[in-house]
Amino acid sequence: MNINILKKTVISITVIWLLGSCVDSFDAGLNTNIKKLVVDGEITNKPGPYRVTLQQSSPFGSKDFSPPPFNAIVIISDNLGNTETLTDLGFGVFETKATQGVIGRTYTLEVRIGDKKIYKSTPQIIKKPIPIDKIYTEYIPFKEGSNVYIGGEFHVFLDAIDPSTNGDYYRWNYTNFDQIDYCLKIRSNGDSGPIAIQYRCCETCWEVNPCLGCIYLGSDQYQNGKKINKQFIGKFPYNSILPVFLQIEQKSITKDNYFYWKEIDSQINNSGGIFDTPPANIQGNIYNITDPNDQVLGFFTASGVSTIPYRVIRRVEGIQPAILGVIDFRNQATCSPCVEGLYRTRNKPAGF
Amino acid sequence: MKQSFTILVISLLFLLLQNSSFSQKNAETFAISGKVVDEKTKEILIGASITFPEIKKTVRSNAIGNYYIKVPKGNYNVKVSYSGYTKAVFPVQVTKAETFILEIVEKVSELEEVEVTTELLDKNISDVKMGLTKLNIKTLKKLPAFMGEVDVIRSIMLLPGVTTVGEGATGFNVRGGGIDQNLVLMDEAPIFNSSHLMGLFSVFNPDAVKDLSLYRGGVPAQYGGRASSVLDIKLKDANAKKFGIQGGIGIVASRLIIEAPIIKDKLSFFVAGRGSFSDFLFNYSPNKNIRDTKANFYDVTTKIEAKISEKDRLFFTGYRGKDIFKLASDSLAVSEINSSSTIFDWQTTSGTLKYNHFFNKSFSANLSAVSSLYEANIINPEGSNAFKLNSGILYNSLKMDFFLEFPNNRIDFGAAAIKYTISPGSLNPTAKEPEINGVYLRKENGIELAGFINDEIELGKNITLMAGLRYSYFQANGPAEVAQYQGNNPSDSILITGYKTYNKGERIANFGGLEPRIALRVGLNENTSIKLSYNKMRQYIQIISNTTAALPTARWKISDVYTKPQISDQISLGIFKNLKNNTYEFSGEVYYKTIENITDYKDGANLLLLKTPENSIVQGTGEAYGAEIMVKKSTGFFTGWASYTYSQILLTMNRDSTQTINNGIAYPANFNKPHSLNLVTSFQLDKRNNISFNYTFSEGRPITYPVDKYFVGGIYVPNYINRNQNKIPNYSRVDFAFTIEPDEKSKKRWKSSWAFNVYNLLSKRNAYSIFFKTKNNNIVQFYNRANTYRLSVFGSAIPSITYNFKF
Repeated sequence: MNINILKKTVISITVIWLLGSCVDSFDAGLNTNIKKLVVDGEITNKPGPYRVTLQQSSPFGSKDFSPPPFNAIVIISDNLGNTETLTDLGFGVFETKATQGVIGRTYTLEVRIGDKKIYKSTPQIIKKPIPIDKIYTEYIPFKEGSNVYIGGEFHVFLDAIDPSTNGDYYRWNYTNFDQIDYCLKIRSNGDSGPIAIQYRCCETCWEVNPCLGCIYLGSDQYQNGKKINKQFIGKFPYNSILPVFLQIEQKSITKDNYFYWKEIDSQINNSGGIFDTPPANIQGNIYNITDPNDQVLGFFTASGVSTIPYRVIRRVEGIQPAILGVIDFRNQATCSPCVEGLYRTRNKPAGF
Repeated sequence: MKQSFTILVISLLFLLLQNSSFSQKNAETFAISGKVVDEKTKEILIGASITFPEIKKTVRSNAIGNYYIKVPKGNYNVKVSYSGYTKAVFPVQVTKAETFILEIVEKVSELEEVEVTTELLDKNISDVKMGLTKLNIKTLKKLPAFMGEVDVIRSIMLLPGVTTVGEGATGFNVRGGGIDQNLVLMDEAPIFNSSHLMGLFSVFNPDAVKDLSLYRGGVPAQYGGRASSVLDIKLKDANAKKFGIQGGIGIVASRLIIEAPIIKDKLSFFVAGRGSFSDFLFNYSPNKNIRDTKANFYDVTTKIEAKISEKDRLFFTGYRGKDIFKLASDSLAVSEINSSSTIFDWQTTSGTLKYNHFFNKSFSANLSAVSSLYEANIINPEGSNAFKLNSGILYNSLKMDFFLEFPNNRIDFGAAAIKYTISPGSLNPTAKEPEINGVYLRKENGIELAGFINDEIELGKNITLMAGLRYSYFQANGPAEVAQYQGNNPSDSILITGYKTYNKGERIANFGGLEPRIALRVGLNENTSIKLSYNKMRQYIQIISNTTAALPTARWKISDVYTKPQISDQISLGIFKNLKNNTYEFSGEVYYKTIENITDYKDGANLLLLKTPENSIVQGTGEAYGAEIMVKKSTGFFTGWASYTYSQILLTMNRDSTQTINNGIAYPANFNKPHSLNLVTSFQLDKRNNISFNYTFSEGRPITYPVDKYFVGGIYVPNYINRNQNKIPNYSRVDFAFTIEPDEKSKKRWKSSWAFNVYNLLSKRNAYSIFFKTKNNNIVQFYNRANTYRLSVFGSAIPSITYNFKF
């Protein structure tokens, strides 16, 4: 339960209504070029490999991509003295080979760049995962007059029981697996406007959609030992009768990590109202051990994860799904292979 | 600095005392006293000017309508003037001490005599007070009104030295002070939230208001408890001679006021009500969430006046105002709240009982008992997560005031006792089988005691001194549990070693001290004077908030072990000049102010339901300075004013290395807008028709811009470093109003008037804020552009029409 965001939303909406206000693009003339180290890493109780990504921050208004720092060494160690130096996969991505996260142990991340710069995270504990009790779906029809297409969407909710201990923090997330029929789409500018041709997949192919940008957080501050009731996980349009496959994760995270994401959530959802909490610097858990003025961005997260596969059945008595958009021209003769990668897989996801 | 200032004052005093002994040479003088009243309603007129032109002496009627002057034997043509009234001349023969009741006639828009303020024509140069502006409701009603609602708080924004974080913010800021540093009084009852609909309108019903005084500096000693300013709103007198109804229909709210005598000349009352029906406006919104939103407010103001005898009067003022918002669940989809709707409400209930006794012509007393309750709630009405989160502040006080009036000397003295009870917040689960645990923060209790004396002495024809002294004492009392910290460092809850329990009534912490209030006026000639003032003010309760503008639900906090009282010291110097027979008034003031223990939130602080808020706030010092220039034309076809303000407020939060904001470097407060300009113009076309325009310009408020952005956990995050180092674009706006007054010559009992208003006439798209969003689509976003947006709340001109009637 997040009363702060509630407050903010309530007021922003009200103020914005009253005044028939408008939001438009603005050039704030932001042109700084200070590059800071960004560390994004995670370890869980699930089998590895675990990844740590190093990048550099980029100027706010730019489309530039700041390349990752070179000559970096990344080490994960635990409180029992085990350490592993991660393998450099290139482009700032580092991966473990042997380490397995263990519930109750604390882990520290160390990054060395060149000879002089040593960065360390604060120790992070892998908390005991808390089981998911129930997952369910509700169909929410769009009300008349809304400017969206006819039909509705399926909202997915989760229930769990918070343990009687104080200080439990949660983050929920899902990965969506969609079986796709067409593996390649080529757009071209025809005489009568742009056209798209889709090529069918040569084999069974699944699209993997991690819920990027989803921040669903929970704390037992006001709910210790009670039921976590109807926690919103995600929503999916009724645009097909095929089920949606989800891998739902409930992470038990540390207090620091909870507040880190809570602040990010609050800042990226700012609506610009004067009742918003003004944005401010968000301190992660990684520090330059020799130079406190060298700001490091990002977080090294440790969490205990409970995972449940879930199938959103998209069928509503008496209501047909609304088909979105235009159906492109489909080429059934030629097929396109399903290329294994971060966002596509030939393997049926586990649990389905 | 302070010492040399004291020496300066003392030496000036000497100078003046000598001077005054020379001027006391007229032999036979008689005391003339009395009242200035409205001829029809017999309403007492405060601040009317009474001039004896033959001896070039002017006095004004005081806060209870009395005037008092000593004049030599002789014949006089006494001139009486008061804003909105026809100037009158009373031939008077003075042979002995006498009482004259001067009755004057309300003016119906005489072309040449439309006045902007209730002030005496030369009051700005003859009065010792500085940093003070008085406006009466007649003036406010001619100003362009936002959505047709005549508004006290919006009107004072047009005065020099007054700013706001933004349109629609709660409260106002005076000379670098926070919104909680203004003492807002409605017939002596403090109002803790002066806003309806967040901050779009204020809680004062214009039909019930008589006039307002805003003290930005030079605050007299009878006012205390706030560090920056006093806004003293006086409601109209309840002294109706016959039954009357007045009302108005506007697009936001409609009003009705009924006044009647209960016992003729003895007991009268008025009841004024106002209610909004903005739900009806919501229905026209293109956005569904907004169409499902309900927002309403109402307020009721009542006053009863009993004339017990010629020497005793009893007054009762009652007020209740409430705002309710109800939002549909869809609008909260982003907020992880599992609720079907949310209600957000706040309300003010206050009462003032005042007893007024005249011992004799020059000695009178007031005894007042005041109670004011402010409550704010957030309610989630349904489901197992249903809750009610309530907070509030209760103020109870007793105040005794004495007034001694002599021709060259006016003394006010008295004492006050105040009890504060603050409910910082409690979360009450309201479901039958709740899935949330209740959180109940303990009430905070405090007592404030004060004694004061204020003496306004005319030390000579051209020199007036206001010497005031207030002593205030505050004590925070149990029951309470106060956290104890390792190394007495309250910067983090991790450092808590235990809690110390205090029993009911047991002293937790106490503070106190003197608050000198001194003002000096030196008249250089008939049209010019120089004024100097110094005042110290102590504030024992404050708002702690982590938003740019404080919310109606913002938490009030008493001073205690870790939150010290705010103390302000202000010195100001001004020059006042009138030209062309008081047609043009000019004033220029400079001020320098320091505020100790000003409070601000730490980055990322969350204050809601926090048992130990001291972990999330830092106290530091504020330094404010500025200059205010105003030119005003008060009479004629064209009236109005132009004011320019330069002001700065910088905060330094550097208690120790663990308690800093912005790394301990000074930064501007959220409402710091160094340059602002207001132009207010009014054209009296004929007896019934008036056109007015106003123009407002202010520099953009400070804001924190991101320095860079980074990608973490699939999200682009803007990275901010130092607080308030950038600015939003400058603000400017033109408003227009056209008012048609009723035909006073008409014999009909039903009289009506119209007001047409256009807010933001030029449809200027002013920035309300600049904010930053990073797109988060389900794609790899390394190359995604982060966007900057401007939110304009008044994107277009907003016309409105109001119909007013009188029966």
